[in-house]
Amino acid sequence: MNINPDKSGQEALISVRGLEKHFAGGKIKALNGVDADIMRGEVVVVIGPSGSGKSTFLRCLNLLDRPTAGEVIFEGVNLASGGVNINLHRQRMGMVFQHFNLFPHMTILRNMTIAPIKLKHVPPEQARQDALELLERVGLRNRADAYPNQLSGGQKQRVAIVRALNMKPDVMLFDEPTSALDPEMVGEVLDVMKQLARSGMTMVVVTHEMGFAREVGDRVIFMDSGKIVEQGTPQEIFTAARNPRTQSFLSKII
Amino acid sequence: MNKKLKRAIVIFVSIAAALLLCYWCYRALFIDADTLEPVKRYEVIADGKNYVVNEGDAHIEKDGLLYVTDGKHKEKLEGQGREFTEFWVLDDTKATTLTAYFADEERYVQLGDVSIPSGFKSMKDVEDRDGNALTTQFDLNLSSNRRSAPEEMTLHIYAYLANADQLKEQGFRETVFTYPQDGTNKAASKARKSYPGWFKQSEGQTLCLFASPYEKAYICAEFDYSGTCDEEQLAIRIFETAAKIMPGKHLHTLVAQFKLNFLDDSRWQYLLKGLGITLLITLVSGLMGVILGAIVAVIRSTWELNNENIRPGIWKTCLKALDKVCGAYLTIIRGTPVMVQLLIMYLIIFASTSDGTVSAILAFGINSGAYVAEIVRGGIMSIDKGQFEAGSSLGFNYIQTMLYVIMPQVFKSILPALANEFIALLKETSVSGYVAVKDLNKGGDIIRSVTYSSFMPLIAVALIYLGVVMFFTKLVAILERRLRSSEHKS
Repeated sequence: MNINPDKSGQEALISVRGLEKHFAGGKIKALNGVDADIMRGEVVVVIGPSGSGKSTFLRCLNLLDRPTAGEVIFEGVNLASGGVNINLHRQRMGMVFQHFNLFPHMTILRNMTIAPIKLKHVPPEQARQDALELLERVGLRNRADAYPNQLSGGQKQRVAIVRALNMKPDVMLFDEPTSALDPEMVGEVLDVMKQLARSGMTMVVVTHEMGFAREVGDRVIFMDSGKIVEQGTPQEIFTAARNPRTQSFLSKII
Repeated sequence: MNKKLKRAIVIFVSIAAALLLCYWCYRALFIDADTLEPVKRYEVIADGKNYVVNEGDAHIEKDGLLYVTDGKHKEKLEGQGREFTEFWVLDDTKATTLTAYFADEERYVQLGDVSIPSGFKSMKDVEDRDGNALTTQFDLNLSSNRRSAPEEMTLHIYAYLANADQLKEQGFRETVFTYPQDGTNKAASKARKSYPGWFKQSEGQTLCLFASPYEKAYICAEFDYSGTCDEEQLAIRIFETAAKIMPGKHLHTLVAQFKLNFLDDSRWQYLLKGLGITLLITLVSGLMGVILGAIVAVIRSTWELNNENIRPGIWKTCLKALDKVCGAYLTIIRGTPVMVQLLIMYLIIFASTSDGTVSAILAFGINSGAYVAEIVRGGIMSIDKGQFEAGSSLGFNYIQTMLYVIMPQVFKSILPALANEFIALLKETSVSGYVAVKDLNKGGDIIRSVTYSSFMPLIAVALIYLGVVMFFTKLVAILERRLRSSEHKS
């Protein structure tokens, strides 16, 4: 069941056109011509077998991997063209990593406030208040002064999410956010993500959590061999996949 | 029983060892092992040349001629032989001689030149090396001058081996200490300026005795003749005193050595000031090394980590060029001795100003930078790639990511290696003396050159370096503990 309100008819927040990414001097084509639109407020779940290029696709969106060819148009600006100050645009694109990548030498609070303070010149007290509010929402307010290695994996990932959120981004990118977690901690992270989806945040999520895709996703993109093979509502993909590769993948995974 | 015996033996041996140790310490501290020993030597003038032969190799026979022997053969040397005595310091090859210098004659008379019979009463008994009685000379200079005295006459008598206390025991009223390198005459004029009153007294008792406190240095006894004092008596006094002191104790106890090397003339200040310079050079060049090293490391690791991701263009070309420059810097600096770099800095680059301290700071800073660069680069490379990505994904640019995210972590992980480098640097600066920097090591050097003793200054310098290094090691350990605990406290 789709828990999100209807978002059809809105403008595309990110438009990807003919995206290609080659590694090792063109020998490996991780992305081989990808076109996609991510609408404002939409939750897009990217699934696919490992090596299908779904993580590369995500990382190309905020140029952590620089595309070899193609366009990534975010809020009207083609990020992939030269001369764009990508750092300014990244401030509006939050990212959550598989391995959390919290800064181990800072407290949780500092992890969350350093970027707003240094980059957006938010007054420190304001940034702190915002951070504490966000921590409250994910149930970690009492750990604000702890250091990352005092937290469990699930707690770290929740902090990573609110760290990105404290920059007040327009879109959140999730790169397999639950893959490095112990099974009992997956739920708490997914809950936070569901909560976020419900609040209307635009999200692109690369994941293996089919339950999450089915429940939260507005659209599911299935990728294989660097291409989008099939996309549609969770309903369409999970119950009536047309492409044999999608069918084969889903049959293995579910 | 057997056990008891063993025990008794052990106790006995321990007590004996302890006593020996005590005795050794006592001797080292208070007993002077070195004495001056008179050495009999023979001198012969033959074929217009002077020969000096050691006792045992030669002796004078009844005919008054000198015979040289190698144990089996005996050979008569042509010419008149003469026996004389020199005083030698046992542990040194330098002869210790008594020297009399007659200023108005520009003539030195050494103990080797004169023989002073024990219990001599007057200068009349003193003969010069040619066998002429020096009495004549003295009479001329002293006695006869009494009848027609020059306006002013100065008699210098130098005697090696000075010890102020001993001289005072001998009845000399005051002693003035001077550096030997000042030159005796300079010392005299300095003392004259410093103690004018001593020279104004004209009754002959006024004696200014310059006693250099260093072993093997000399006493200069100087007095001014004003026509009324009895120089002859005074000269005899001096010779007598010198003769009494000469075979006496030497400045060889540890206490005396300590006093000589550190307390006299406030010589400890050389070490204190030297330590200040050493610390200054180390701290400034260390700071420079860290900054330089961090910059080089960032350039090198940026190129190493990202050269595939950067688009070809001016930036990539620049970065590549910078990387190459940094690589060359590391190769050159790590491939040549720091000593040579220091000399190049001082003698070539700073040739015009010859500022040793600035040269040393720059040379050591640049040198240390190369080693720090490799340490920091290792630290950067060891940081998880995800940290860079997390920084970037929040919107930090590369430099901000480095500054806020990467470097603090790097610093923490490389702190022990940095501390090692700093300590190595501290010790390396001890060669700064080569470029006229008066650092700690050079301070010890100066003391040694003044006091001619090596043990105390060198050990002191070593101990100070050790102390400073231990202090910094402790400091780093505390810092490290604090940094580590900051991640784990709950």
